[in-house]
Amino acid sequence: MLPVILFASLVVGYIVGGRIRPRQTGDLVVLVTYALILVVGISAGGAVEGASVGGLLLTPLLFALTSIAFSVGGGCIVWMLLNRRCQR
Amino acid sequence: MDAAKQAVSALAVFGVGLSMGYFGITPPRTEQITTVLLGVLVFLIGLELGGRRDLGRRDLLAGVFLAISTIAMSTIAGLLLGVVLDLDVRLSAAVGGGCGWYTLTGPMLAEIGGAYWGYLGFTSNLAREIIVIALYPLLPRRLEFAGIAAGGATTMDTSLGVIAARGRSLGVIAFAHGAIITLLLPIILPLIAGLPG
Repeated sequence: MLPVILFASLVVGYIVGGRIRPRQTGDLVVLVTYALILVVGISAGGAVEGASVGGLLLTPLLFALTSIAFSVGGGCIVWMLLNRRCQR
Repeated sequence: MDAAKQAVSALAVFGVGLSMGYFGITPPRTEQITTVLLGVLVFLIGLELGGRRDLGRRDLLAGVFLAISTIAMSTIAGLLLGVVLDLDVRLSAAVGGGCGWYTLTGPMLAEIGGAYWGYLGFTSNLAREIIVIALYPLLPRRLEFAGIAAGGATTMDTSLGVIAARGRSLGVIAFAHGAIITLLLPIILPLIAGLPG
């Protein structure tokens, strides 16, 4: 259900945005973002109890660093492919 | 609000929420609230992207290739880490595939996989954003294009400033890269997390 809701929201937003060209949605985005962060924090707060330091601190850091390293590696490959294409 | 302040505020709000949850102060229907807020957030992002018409074709093309690579490589990173750490592989792939968009990944994974995965999705991707903002200015010149990929979805907003400071062309590619990831993630991420394990 969630993918359908998000896809529909995105498409409707994109179409409406293309027509009315909104000037300032930034404040609303920030407001909704903080509301979401608070809700995630609340639900995570219940899960924190009894969890290990590794699970709470090291695992997120590992995920962050690994995904950064892999995506930069992918970026290098794209850069090489685009450059080779430009040189021809 | 600049990127550093935004990251600190996000951490502070998250800390408040974490404390509330820890002490049992939980509003009713958290799942439904999350779904509604996610829908509103994605609608607003769509609204903003629909109104932009200032991207060049060449930069857009570079952004498209880079964005596809970023999503694929980040997802692979998460998947591999899931195997190594013996975690749920689908959800780990989704944590990595979050591409720094912590406000989407956290709530979505909380709904699909439970509170711990929401926590992991949120903190991993927030850490990614903070690391990129702190380290991108220090990257050597030959890595500044590839380095855009590290920022993931945040390259159209919070990390755009540090990237654009190294060149206008890089800034335009970064915006295109972030915008394309932002358009694709709400569709791709639930599919990754929902794949049969």
